[in-house]
Amino acid sequence: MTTLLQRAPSFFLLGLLLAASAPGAEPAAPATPAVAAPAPEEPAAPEPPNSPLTSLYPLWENTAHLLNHRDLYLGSSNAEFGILGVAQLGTHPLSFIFRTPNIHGKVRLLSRERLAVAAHAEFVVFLPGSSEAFISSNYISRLDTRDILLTVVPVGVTASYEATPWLYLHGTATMMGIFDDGPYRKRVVPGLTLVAEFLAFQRHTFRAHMGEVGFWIHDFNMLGASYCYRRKWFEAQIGYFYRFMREGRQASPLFSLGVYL
Amino acid sequence: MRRLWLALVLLGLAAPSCDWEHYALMNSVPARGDSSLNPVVRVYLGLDGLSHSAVVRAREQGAFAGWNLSRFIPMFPATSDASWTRILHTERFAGLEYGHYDPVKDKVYNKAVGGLLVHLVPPLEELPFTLPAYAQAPAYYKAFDYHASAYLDALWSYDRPFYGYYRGLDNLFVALEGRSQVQDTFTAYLLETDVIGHLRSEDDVVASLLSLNERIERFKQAHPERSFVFTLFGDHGMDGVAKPLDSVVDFRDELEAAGVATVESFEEADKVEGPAAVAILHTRVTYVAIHAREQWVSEVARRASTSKAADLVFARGEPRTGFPEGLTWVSAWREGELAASFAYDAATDAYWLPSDVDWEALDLPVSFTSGASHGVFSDEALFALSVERTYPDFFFRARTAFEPISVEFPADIVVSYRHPFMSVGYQAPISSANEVGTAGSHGAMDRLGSMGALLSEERELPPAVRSDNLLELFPALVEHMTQREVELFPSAQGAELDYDALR
Repeated sequence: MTTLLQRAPSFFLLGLLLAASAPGAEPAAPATPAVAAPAPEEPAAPEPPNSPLTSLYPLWENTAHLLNHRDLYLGSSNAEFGILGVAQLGTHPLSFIFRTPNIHGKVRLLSRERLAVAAHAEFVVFLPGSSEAFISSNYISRLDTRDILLTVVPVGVTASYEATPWLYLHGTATMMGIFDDGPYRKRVVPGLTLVAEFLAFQRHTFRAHMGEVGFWIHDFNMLGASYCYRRKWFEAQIGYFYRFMREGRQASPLFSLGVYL
Repeated sequence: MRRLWLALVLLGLAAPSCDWEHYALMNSVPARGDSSLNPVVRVYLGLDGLSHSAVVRAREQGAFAGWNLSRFIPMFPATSDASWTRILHTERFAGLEYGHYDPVKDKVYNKAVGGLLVHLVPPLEELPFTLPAYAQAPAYYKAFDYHASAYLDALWSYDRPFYGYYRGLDNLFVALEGRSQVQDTFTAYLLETDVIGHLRSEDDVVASLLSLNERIERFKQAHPERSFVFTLFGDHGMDGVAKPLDSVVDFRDELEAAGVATVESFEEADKVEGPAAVAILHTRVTYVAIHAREQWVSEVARRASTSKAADLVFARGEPRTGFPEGLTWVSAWREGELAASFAYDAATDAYWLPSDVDWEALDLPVSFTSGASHGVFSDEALFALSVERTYPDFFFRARTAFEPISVEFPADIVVSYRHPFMSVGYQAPISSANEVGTAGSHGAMDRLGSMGALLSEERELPPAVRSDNLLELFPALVEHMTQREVELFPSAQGAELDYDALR
């Protein structure tokens, strides 16, 4: 595991390079996936993307950004590990506490100067009791898995596009497979989300989130806003999200803290 | 390594977000069930403070047409936590409310502002450690699939009751839609109907019920694949009597004026010459619970009844001569005099009423055989004669107020307020905050704050139902609670009523 101290010169070099290449340089340098500094003496030192690796909202959102080889991100919402600079394996660690083991992976399909595309898949198992596993019963799941084991497999593609140096767009198309031997029916549900990310200042980004789940079998629309603070190896995200369903509206914050190791 | 430790610390700081993430995750999976497996879904909604009068007015405006309506008589004092516990037969709450006196530890818990703030502590059932008993949420929450929508739901509900109500309805119906994919019974609790009654007016409660009716009908139309059968029930009424600020009293002042020292422990009481008592003010309700040494109970009750705020003061009574031994006696004091006393015979489930009591003064039309010193009456007979009167189900409610049924530490004396008086409850440090919650209240023995409602599409109902008997009428509710691993406790002795005989 590379320490911060060991990586500091590379960070500095990269910062200089990116600052020089970004006109006006006030917004954080846009995160091109796997940006590598071609230093002749040592292997390319990665800079964690300013745009987050994974989106704040679960299941339906993502980004096309990837960690570099053997880099690790450890956060309250995600733990991610970079593989060969082209893939990433991760999990939502806190979900295990809620009887929801899970694993997900992401593979780069395309990397251009302003466009990155990645395919991703997730495997989530809601163990019996997961619907009642909230720390506070003030929260309820509309799923009832008290005595049911439910498996959910969202598979999708995300494109992250740098529209301007201060605006990123992340579009994710997902097909979610829901598997159960009963009483839930096996089904596949499509979903599309879009995140507009404003890199307002060097360490601050604001994001607008929107999404549709179900389309012709409409289930819910999602709308949210979030803020991300990044400083060196530290990242904090906080957001507020609404789900608009036919029966009413749900809303709650989402919060994530993490470090790049 | 330093950053790894920091990461672990940060993870700890992020703990409150755990539920948020799981909430978003679980509610973002559009799973569907097979409606042929549960074509009928029974829905039980517990609405806090659902008064009979508000329901009648909502029905006059077209709501709940065709539903069966019954007067639903709660325990005395008619107060939420103890009453829901009684209705659902769940594990006892320590006191009538969070603020209570523990005679074992000889200590008052959740007094002053602390008693107010503890209402804001969300239930945290899955924490790896146990909260102190006095801060734990009541067990009846577990009977409900849905009972809140955020950590600080209670705070928002009191701050903006209508916003909280509609947000609660949104969450309730989203949960119902999801849960009904596989469940054939769904239970939910809504706090805000009570808050609206306390803070606003009965007109506003009626408006909230009309809205609920509309949401129910809309939901049914949107989900023709299943039949949804609703039952609504409340834990107490709402008197709808506005409380002038000079009628919002601290009963400790009333006791002091009556010559009763107010203390915070029996140890302290024992150092006082003369009567002393621990008064629990609870929240802004129309009753006060008092604890006193056994030798002082009658005297404290008598003196308490001299207060201008007191309508009746109930206490365990002393046995009267000429009656069999082994009876349980209850006394009711008014204006410094013993207004009534009666006894209960547990062996025969019958009540012994002395004929020298002026029962008419209590609006209780008890008749005796000419020349008899007393009469023996069945529970059903007394229920029938009192249920439409000023003090519905007077005898059973007064008797069981002192039994540890839904309350681990019942009071020795209960003061039932007269209108328009109300207990000041907890005094907030901000004076303007003490002027809220004066639109209506509950807790007293009289019918205005006592008469709840039971409203059902599922079955026919008797004209009046004792709230202790709800589970007998709705076995599907019992089955669902059992599936939710709710431990059920016995009801009060003699709580059962022969409703066929009452028709």
